Amino acid sequence: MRILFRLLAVFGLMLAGFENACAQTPRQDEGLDDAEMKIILAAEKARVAAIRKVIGSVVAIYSEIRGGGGSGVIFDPSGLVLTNHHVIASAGVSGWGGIADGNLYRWNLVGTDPGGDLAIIKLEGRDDFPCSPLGNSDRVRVGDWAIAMGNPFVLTEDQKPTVTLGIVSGIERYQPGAGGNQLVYGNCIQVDSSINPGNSGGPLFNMQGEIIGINGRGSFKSRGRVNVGLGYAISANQIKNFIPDLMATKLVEHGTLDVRFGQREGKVVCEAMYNEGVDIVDKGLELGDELLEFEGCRIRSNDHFTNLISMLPETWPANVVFKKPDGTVRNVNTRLVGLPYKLRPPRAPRPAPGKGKEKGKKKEPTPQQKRAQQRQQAMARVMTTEPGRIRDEKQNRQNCRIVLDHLARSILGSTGALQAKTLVIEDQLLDEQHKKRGSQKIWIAGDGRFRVNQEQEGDRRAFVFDGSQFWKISGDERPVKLDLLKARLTPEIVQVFSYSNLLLEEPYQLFGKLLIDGGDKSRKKPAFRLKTIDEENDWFYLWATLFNDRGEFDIRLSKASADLDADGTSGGVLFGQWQQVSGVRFPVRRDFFRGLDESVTGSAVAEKIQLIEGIRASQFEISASGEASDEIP
Amino acid sequence: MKFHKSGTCSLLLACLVAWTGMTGADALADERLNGFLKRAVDRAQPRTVKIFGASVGRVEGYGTGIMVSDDGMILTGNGVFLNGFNTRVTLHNGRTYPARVVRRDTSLQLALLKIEAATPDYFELKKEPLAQKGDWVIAISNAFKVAERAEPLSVTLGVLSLETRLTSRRREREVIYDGELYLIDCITSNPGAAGGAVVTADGQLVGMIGKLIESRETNTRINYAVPARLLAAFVAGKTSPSTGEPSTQPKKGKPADLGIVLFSLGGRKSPAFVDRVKRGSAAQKAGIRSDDLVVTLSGRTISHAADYQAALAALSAGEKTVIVVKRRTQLKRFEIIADEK
Repeated sequence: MRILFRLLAVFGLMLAGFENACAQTPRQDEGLDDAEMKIILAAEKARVAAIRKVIGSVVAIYSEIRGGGGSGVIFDPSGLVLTNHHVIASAGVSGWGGIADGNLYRWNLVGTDPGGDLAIIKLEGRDDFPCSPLGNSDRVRVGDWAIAMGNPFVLTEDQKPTVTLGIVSGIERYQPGAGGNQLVYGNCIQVDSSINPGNSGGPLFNMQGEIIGINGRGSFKSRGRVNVGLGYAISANQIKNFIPDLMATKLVEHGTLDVRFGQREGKVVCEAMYNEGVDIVDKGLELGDELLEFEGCRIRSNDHFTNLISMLPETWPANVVFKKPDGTVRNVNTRLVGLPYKLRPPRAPRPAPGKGKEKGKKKEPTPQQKRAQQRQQAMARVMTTEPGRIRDEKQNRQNCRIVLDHLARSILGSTGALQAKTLVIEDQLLDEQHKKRGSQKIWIAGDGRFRVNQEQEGDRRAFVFDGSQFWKISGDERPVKLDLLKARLTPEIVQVFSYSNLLLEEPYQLFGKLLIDGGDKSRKKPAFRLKTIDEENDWFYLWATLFNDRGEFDIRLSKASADLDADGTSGGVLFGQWQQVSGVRFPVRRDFFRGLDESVTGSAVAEKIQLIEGIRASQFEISASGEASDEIP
Repeated sequence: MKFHKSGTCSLLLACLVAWTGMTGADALADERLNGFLKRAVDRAQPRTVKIFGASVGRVEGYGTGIMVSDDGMILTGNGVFLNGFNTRVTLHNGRTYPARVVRRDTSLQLALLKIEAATPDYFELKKEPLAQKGDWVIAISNAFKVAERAEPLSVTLGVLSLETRLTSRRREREVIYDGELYLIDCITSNPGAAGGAVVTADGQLVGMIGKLIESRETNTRINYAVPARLLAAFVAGKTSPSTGEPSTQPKKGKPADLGIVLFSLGGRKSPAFVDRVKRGSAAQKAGIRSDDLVVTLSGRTISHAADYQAALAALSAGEKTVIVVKRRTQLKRFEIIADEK
């Protein structure tokens, strides 16, 4: 309240400070006619409706002792909240979050990205939190309306957020960090919506009610920490790139190519290399080479490149196009390496002046001080964990469950439409030139069992999963049991298994323990990378994109491979063109690919998908003798 | 005010479309939703420039400017950052040119610069007002030097609040700006914003963001624009209609001298003690003695010898001014008429 009064005082003084003699206006005010008034009232009504739609998802973030104050926004009904790193850095690893329904919920830290000032926390206690979609921040333009929401100056008593309206003042802004590679705002959005202390971590909405950024800083200089009309928000598209790593409970580092570029004669040229064994150097980059494209963007200037790369986390598979002095152009894919954080050493506590050592008696800390100390220590532990490592496996598994639930819903909706039914797909098999090579027929039972019958140039093959074992049948030969390692290296099995196992309560358990491995890219979109590990330390990867075209948190299976970069012997499968058939979604197109650049080596394209009643158990059973108990239909 | 009315109507219509057309996320809807300022921004950006000059102490060495002719005339706020040897103007396309100061106005705190480049995009300085109280205005500036090279300037939205004058009382409420101004309700009183464009929703120039005015009493600032008609008069070199004074052509007469020789301890920071007073000089006539400490000259605080030299340089011969000195424990105030140097 004191702050509020101080603010009022400032405004009052502002009026008093400059007396003004009202100049005569040269004309009479014309006023508004009825039609104009109607328009204004309609606009106002629509604006209020737009704000009402999203205001429930805004969170006021407090520390354990309900002190401090920051803001956040919920992006998933499970209670996942986006906020700033600098908010949780002072609030700690847990605390309380208030939303507009007036209730306080407990929160725990999930993951944090000090480099981009982003963090995810999770509210507990509900599975139907109101949430808002993330928009496409590349479509934000200067002059667009921008609504900021949050809890400036910790004003709210009933947890309802403060709403401020302004416009986008600038895009593609770069605000340097606080040193040690921390708190860099690259490619951020600048707004004149009032951003004050306490707004940190809160959402910036466009007029469709989509989150286009997370408000985190303002230009504060000599005038104290109050809004001066320049606020900055982390762009939504950067946030999308970091959500998977954060949900994997990591301390996330930002990515770098580990070489330095500079501007020379209007060109962006590789100027310096620092380390040995840099991947892009191994792939042919040399000093003096000109950077042409990065991640599909033509590079306009070195600043432009800095902006683009500051949006990406470490290990991001980046596409780089550069030109040699002799004019040859190279197109390479490389995983970014992490920019390490330089942490300030903790300050040694200074002895209180005057109270000398002579007494020799150490004052026992109060319980409050003890708790504050514990909070600081917990936060320090977060900041000193090894970057890029899963910090909290239990939390990671919970988040993995959220991802799996989304994936299952993306296939079945909420209906369970596949129960006691069989999905039958008839595919054409194409080679890399899109020429027909053969055909296959797939049966997927509602209980996860499946069968694939392939016919290629006269060869007949079948693959069966009977619920616990994989079998391969070549022509009229006896079925051969495939072990788990062999099965996950067989694309014909992967193309179905990755999908069909989502029908189960606990998918992919056959391959071992499932975790969110981190963030990645699939088909040019940010994606989760899930990983299974079994006792033999063999693994299997699944990729799932995060957001649909409307920006809703809508996780879809995107690709699967037994190999991280799919450059091993087997390659992997890409899933696309999802189509709904009788309430079930299925990827019409499955592309077999290789390598980091996902180059397609062949495809299966569905010509006919149908859902039939019942499961013909015999189709999926292999008799004890190893004989197929049913003729291939 | 035909223009004004049509401008407001189109703006209102744009708002309506904006608020009702929320069905899809397709590009067209987005255009209608958010595009209403786009025209103004697109028009104003290439006509507004970044200016980089000397930074002196805590005074920023950058500002904003508007192009007012097709041959490189640029208006900006007056300031010490223009005093250096190397003043540069960066156009919206990132090209940078050296600039020279053509003329300054200390009553409206304006400066006219010239670059040797053709500038086909420029603002026309209209004499009739284009906006009135309550109209949207958009301010475009390089506050806090957020943009460099070809990066676009910052855009903020506000409402024209009032056309008015600020009253100034000597030594109590000193306002460096003497003329009519538009108060606007978006924050433009930021470092480097002076010289920025203030335009209508159609992108027509209403005025220019004025030099920063801060109240000494309250430490608050006002957000204002110098009206386009005053800018037009200044560019034309005519009598400023607001002040009624002769034009602010560099009115400086011959350099002034007061006949005070300061105690020199070496270094710029030595206190401004009077070592001796020249015989028959203005200072002697006024009653200044040796060992007096100069406290203010012409209202400027003199904390060391360099301040005194700066205050003296601002005087011209024959000008009447006030000098305050400290003699033992007393402050003494003298009126003094400057000699010719």
